Amino acid sequence: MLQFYSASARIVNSTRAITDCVEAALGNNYADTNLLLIHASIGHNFQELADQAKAMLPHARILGASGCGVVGTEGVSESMKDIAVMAVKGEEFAVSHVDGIYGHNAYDRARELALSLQASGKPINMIYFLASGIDIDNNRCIEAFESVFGPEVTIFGATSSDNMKGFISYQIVDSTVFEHAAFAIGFADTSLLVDTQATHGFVAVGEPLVVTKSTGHIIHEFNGKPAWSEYLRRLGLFGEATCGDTIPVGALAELLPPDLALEYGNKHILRVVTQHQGEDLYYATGCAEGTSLWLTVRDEELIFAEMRRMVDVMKNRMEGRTPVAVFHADCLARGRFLFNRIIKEELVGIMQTPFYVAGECPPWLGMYGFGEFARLGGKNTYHNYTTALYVLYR
Amino acid sequence: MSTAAEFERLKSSYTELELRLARFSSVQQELISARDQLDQELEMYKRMLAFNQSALIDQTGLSFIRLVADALIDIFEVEYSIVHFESNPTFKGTLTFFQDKFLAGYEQQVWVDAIRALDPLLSESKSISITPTSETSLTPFVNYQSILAIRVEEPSVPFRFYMLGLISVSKAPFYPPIRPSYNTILGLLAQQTKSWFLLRHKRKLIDVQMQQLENADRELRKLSLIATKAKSGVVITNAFGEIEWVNESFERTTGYALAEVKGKKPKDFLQGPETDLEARRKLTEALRDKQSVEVTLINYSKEGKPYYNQLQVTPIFDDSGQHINFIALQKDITVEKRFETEILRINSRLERITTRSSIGIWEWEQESGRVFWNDVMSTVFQMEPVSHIDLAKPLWEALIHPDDRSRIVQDIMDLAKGDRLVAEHEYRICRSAGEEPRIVRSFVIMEDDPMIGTRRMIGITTDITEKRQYDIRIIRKNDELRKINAELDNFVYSISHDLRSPLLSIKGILHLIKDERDLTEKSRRFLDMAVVSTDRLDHTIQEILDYSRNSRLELQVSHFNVVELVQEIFADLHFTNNAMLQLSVHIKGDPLIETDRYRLGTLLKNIIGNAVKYQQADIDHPFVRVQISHVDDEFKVLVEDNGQGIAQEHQERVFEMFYRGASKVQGTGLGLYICQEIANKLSGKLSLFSKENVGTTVTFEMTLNSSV
Repeated sequence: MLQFYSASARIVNSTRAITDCVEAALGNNYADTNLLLIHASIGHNFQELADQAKAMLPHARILGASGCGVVGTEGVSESMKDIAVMAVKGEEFAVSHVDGIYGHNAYDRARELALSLQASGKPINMIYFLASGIDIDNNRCIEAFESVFGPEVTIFGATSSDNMKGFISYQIVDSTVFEHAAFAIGFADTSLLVDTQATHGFVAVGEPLVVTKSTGHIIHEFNGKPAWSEYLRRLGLFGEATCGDTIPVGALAELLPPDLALEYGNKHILRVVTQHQGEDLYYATGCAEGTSLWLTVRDEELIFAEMRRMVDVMKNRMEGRTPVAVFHADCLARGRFLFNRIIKEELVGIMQTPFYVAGECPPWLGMYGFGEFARLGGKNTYHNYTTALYVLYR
Repeated sequence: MSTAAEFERLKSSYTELELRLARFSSVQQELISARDQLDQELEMYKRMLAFNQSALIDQTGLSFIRLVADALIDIFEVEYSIVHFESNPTFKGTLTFFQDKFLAGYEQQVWVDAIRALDPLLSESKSISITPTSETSLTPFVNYQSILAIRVEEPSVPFRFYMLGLISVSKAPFYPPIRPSYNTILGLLAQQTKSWFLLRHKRKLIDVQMQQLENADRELRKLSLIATKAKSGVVITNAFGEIEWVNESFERTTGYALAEVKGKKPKDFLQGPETDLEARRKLTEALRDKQSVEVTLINYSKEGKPYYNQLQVTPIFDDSGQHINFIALQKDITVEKRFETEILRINSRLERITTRSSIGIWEWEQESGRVFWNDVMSTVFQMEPVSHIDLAKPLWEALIHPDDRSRIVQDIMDLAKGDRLVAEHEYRICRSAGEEPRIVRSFVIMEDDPMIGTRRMIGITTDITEKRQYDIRIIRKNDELRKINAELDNFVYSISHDLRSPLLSIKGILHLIKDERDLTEKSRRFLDMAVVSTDRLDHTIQEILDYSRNSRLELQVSHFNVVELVQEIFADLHFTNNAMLQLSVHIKGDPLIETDRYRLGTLLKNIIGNAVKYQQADIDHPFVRVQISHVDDEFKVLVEDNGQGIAQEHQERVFEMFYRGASKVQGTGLGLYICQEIANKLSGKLSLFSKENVGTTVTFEMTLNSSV
């Protein structure tokens, strides 16, 4: 049976940061660790993190990703020097990774990952998936995994990011640091179940931007006009604005079918623009021509209400079983660019407290990234601008 | 207004409203960003507070600088940091710490020069931000986007330091531009850092002063204790020479207590009839002139007993040069004076002895070049004394026989250089033409006394010409004796050997005659007597041969089993054996040994043979036990019997040649002597313990390798 251990910290020196975190999570008893998952802010030296982790845990698989901040049992932190780890003991898992994943080859690369997991021969019943969040078609990734494992397997995870600059993101696989890689962990502990859900709390406003020209996940035109300029105009931003400027205010909403809207607590699912090349806008999923996309505004009360509703629903679905670990992906636009520290900590408190076991928070690994995977309407779905919780319980 | 126009107006208003809403969202985000910026600054102050708390922990300068370098990255979230500290008045002593391996990859001096070259940009204690477009002295080393920098100096103390935070071009997209508020915070951090260094500097100064005070106090207490407990008498007088304080030693030496002499002048009660007038005058003049003086004079104790007083007086002046005291140290050197006299007497006696014994003594003090030699040296070398080595050396060298000269001179030079400490020679000297060379023996040592900084060479030389001639005669005599001895040994061997052959023939013939049937009883009795006599003669010759072989032949070492050897001896003794006699051999350790088998066999055969031969009659359980021990290289044989034993008065002499313990027993008296000789040859030890009518134990011990 898999055992989970977590810790988080803000420490300047990358080597010391990973050392302290591993020791905080596992004490001195870390030699028999089988897997270490690292989330760290973009300011860390990822090669040092990888090297030190490998030196401390020579027999473990080391996986990691960059983000804009972390959430652990110790709380939330969004600086350039945050780190959080989830250590796993036990052998009921398989790991695969690919490099060079982009929007145009997302399906093929993700299928490679899935096939590699399948080849392990282990009874994989849930997949933690983490990919570079820049220039990727996440819906195609989901399709690729489902083509191998079927739609029943739960895909959860996130996309890596920088600190909302849309410049680069890093992934660690053992001793190597990548910039456009993806990895997947297939959990094969049959005693474990996973429950996932996402929530955002944004409200669509105004008339939609209609996609009039697109290729896969790249949008060329809105309403017959060059996409990036039209997007900025509607946001009230000027021509020199960057993706980093648009992300906090530029969530685009797609209409959900009514049944899904009920479960989701919102009529729309949100999407983020992570990059633009001239007038071309890189959308997080494929976007067919004719799709209507609404601009959105945040609603603080709705954000809190939906968060409470989501954790209540999840708590009820657990039916008294015990959480053994929680993975958590949060959109970087929901961090310091949305709330101040006090409100954010309150929000994290709302999402963590219901899962406490004997008064203590279970091992918790959260990150601020570009996007989140969680099931919606019984289907694996990619989300943006959400808080997504993945509760593993027995 | 038409409906269409109204629709258009409404549509335009809606679009405007929609845009306003979006713009409101954008403005709201700007407000959030501004708030986040304030949050960030607050966070930076919190991090600085954390730095302050860490800085309060007592630590070394290096660990504090490391802490500052960490804090620069922690607070400002810059990519790299440099803290450079210079700590002496000329700013030559430096300490630089980098928070990144990349920066640390360069030689420190390269960085020091580059950092110092920033000086024109840095006004004292004011933080600056260097923009991406500015090239600086750091540009060749770091492809930086922006630098946050400050230099802090403190005129009152000898240090200055630089603090730099850098963001590289490659990572710049992640970092926000350096905001003006950063400069304020860096200024504060620099002030905190400066305060820490100032505090440390002051603490060091205080520590030094405290240490000095403590040392002074300790010194004072030590001096006070020394003055009080010193073996020398200490007297402190005022400027007029009147006593203010004396120590315990003074009281002991003179018999006067402080209370008795306080206010008096020492001369009024210490001097007496035998006090040397010249010393007294010297002392008076020095005191009058307030000069230091050292004199030895006879003083008198309270009981009137005279003693030699070695006196050292020093005038003491205050800071303004005013004479305030005299301090006198006095030492009773009566005993030393007595010793001095004794040493002079001993020296004189030694001089007489060496002269009588014809031992030449000489001495060369290297620093001064002074040379001394006694009269014997003058006689042996027929050389008048000179006082300096430059004069003595050529004279001495010229006297040495040409064949010996270079060797002897080189040896003495090696000694002088310190390459050796001792040299011993024999060499010839040629004192005058026509005279046979004299032989001298010389023993020279180099005496190095670092305590008094002298090096001197001391030599003893004796004329051994006559002794050497006598030695040569002795050696010749010895050679002659050795030759005679060898000839004698050969003679004994040849005679014994030549005697034995006919003797064995006689023995054979006697046995043939005994076998004749028609012999009368009387003839048979005479024949038996003849057989016994020839056996005895054969045994005697055999022993002489054994003795001869032992002294003549070299050791023949072989590897053999000692138990088997003993058993062979038992077998040889079988026919002389009493049927009741129990012969046994026991061994502890390895029976295989390596030594001279023939000699060990002869030794054991003699000892065991004696044990068998001298059994007690009428004893129930006669025995001869041989116990052998062979552990490592130690070999030991113990032969024990319960035979007749040897009377106490004979025991000391049984190993002598031809000595027989009892006249009634047959034998040559050579057996145990041969055993002793063999034991000596094998470098072993033979010992005997015996009690009459109880038994005898003979022990032979040897170390196996030593005989090989």
